[in-house]
Amino acid sequence: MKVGVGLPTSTPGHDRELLLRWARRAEELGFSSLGVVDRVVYDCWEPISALTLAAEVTEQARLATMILIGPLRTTAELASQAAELQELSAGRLVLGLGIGARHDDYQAKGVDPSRRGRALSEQLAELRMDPASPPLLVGGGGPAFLRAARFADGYVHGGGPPRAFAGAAARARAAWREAERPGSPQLWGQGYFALGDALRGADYLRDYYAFTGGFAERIAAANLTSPQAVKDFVRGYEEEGCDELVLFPTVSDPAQLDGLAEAVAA
Amino acid sequence: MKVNILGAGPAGLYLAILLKQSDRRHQVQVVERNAPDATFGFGVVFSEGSLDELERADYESYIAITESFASWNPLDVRYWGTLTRIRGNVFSGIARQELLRLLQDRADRLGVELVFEREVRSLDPYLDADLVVGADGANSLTRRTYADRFRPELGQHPAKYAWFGADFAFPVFTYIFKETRWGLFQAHCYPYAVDRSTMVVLISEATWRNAGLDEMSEQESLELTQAVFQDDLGEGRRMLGNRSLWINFPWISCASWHSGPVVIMGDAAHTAHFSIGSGTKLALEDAIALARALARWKDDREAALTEFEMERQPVVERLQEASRVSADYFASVQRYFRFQPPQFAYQLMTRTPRITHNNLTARDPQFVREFETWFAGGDGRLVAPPPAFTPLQLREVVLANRIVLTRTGQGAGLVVTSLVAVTPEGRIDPETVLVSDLAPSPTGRGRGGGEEVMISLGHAGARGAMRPRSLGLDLPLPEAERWPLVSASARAYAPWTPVPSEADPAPLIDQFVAAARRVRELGYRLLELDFSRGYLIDSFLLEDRLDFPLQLLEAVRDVWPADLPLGVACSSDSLEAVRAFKAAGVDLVRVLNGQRTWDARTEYGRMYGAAASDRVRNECGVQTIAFGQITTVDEVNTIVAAGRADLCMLDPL
Repeated sequence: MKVGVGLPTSTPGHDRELLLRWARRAEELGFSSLGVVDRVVYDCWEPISALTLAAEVTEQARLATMILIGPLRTTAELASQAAELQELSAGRLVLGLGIGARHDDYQAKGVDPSRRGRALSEQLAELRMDPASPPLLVGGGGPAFLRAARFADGYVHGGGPPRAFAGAAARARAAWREAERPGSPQLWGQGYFALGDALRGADYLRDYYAFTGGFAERIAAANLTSPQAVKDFVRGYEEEGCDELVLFPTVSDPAQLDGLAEAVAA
Repeated sequence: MKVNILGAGPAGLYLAILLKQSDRRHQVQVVERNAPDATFGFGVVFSEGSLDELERADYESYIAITESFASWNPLDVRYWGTLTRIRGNVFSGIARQELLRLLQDRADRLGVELVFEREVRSLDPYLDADLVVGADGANSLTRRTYADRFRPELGQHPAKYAWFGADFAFPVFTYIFKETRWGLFQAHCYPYAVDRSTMVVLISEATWRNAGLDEMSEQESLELTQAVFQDDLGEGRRMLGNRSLWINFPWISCASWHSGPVVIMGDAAHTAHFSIGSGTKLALEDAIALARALARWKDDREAALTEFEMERQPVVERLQEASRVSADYFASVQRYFRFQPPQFAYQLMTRTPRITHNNLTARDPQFVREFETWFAGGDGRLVAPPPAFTPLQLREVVLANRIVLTRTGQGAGLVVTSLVAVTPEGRIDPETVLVSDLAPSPTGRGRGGGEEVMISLGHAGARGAMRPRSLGLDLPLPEAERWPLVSASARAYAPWTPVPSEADPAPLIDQFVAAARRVRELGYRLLELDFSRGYLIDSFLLEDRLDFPLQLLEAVRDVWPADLPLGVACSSDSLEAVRAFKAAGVDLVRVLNGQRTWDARTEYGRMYGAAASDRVRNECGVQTIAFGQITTVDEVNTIVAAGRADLCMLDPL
């Protein structure tokens, strides 16, 4: 299993300097990929722009959207953005797409959320048939499993303990079989971390996930705050057959990367 | 900490005990509507063997409870006037009243303030505490008061049930299936004291009406039910009533269990169908988890309640799912009344995916060994292979085992091909094999010998002219490379796929017949027609146009040798269609429910395909192949042994 790291594009106090330092250091430490999230109605950077910036200061790391909310962009717009980043990064983009979790993102962009599943499928079909398409992943639950098998190279899980990933991975594989795709799906996982005391990063997660109600507490409680927790989490994902696990920061502190690399290597 | 607990059932009392026991300074009050000795319900059952958690949580109450237990490990199934006994299932029963009395005593000695006979009409007077616990049962006022926070999902199981008692102890947990002129009566019976048993009686709504129970008094209903089961009770023994009303089981689950200082637990937060006997255990485990989280987080109530919810929700959800499957099983159990008693009992034991062949073997190796010899033919032999490796005869063809794979040389009893197109226009993609290019049958050359290949003939219909599956599914070829598509109507399969023209059925029949002849000439002994997944033939079925598929089937059956089996791949959506296929000479149905329309959704999950196969096999009386997340030989054993399928498509590793 490869281990990547998220870019600080939505943590409190994120800025250009931090992102550049973070991307450089992550690559030096050998993280396999740099991940970004996508939210419109939140203080956070547009994912393709952030990855473009990271592409400039890195050579090896793959650049992954986990996920980008496809229906918020027109397919033509997304295809040209992706093609451009693909060229700028010498083919390192992995485009993870989903419908997202919030209606207000759709309202902000003036997009009708009631047809978002269908819109995403049509978008994926179009992207996939373009010979210049980057590798595609699909995230989400329910219809997303077959959507991943139908249009993509794999499935990206939304986060949670290894057991939750295992359940989703089994479904992604089942959909892959149902679609009679050869081989098996690429399976990506993600988690949150902030090494330090037990409450580090919790405020950010509570805030970021405030729209989920009580669930935000659960996400905050699951934040990986000790090297042992990181290690157990990484091992758990590896045991469940994850291909690439991307750990997202919950605080804007570049010192976190070294601590994470140490915990992962231990 | 000041704690107000609403409801003095097992959940509320046990929480009070654990809180007081962890810190005597806690002020714990339990408020209950009923009197301390109110006797509602008879015995409660603990179906799981291990009560270690209770032992660790509070040794004193554990000893008191387990000393009052009636415990047994066999389980009896009374069906068709026969009795099948399966060992290794640890159950314990205790009178509900006794359980409550023991918990009340313990709580009282620990200094819990117990307030009985006080009706709670509003939560307001109780909110002045650090923690307010709604342990107030399935009809929870707490849950209703904070419905906007807990976001409950409520439902009802369609079957009717009622709790009765009996004035003697059934020897062990006993399932009774009794057919009457009004319909089926089932009883789940377990002893809870030397001279008492609980009998939960289940009937369908139709049976309830047919028997006139909808208009009877409680006494009349008791008398009628007792008459139904008199033979099983034994002469002179009686059933007992106590508010024994016929009701529908309420499904309750909540998105969240806590909000501010208020938390709900037990039945107030979640119900699990009584047929897996876990309600009381779930409630007690809730109390343990909640008390533990509160002890760990002391000052941080929010963290404690979050942890409680995080720990318990997944466990509860799994049990609820199992209990739903179990409830559905008992509601449709008549489907299995053709089964011989050993298989009927096997099916009952493995009704939820929690118990597989391996689990059952660990519980009662002798039952499984006897079952396996019965399954293998029961001809006096003492040993037999496990069900997955029992041969299967289909007309004159004998398959070596019950495992279906898509490649030869891997040990399967049957290899089924991907769709083999009857004509070039019927191809799914450029890599689809054409019947005219098919190689001769490799039968006998497979590893282990006896491996049969079934050719799956079909026509892609509107799903043709796609790019190869290595890229994806349903991605049309570039326009210049496409061939003309046909389907039942001029409707595209998906919004991004081309519109086909309307198919002319007559030549298609000839093409399928010619293809079937060719398959036979090549030496294959099994043929399947693909009527599934929105391909050409299924596009007719999707429009309820059964005539053409049936004509095609009959025409192929005519040229396919009478001693060789013919299969169909189709969905379980129309059992009527499947029955018609069977009448037209189909021996084997591969049940494939996915992809009929582009946006059809499959609910994946372990062995998800077994339920649909079960329905087809046992409602239509035809042999089936199950497909859908079957990943181990243990699962194949379980599905085949339980009569849910005759063959299983095993996912590759």
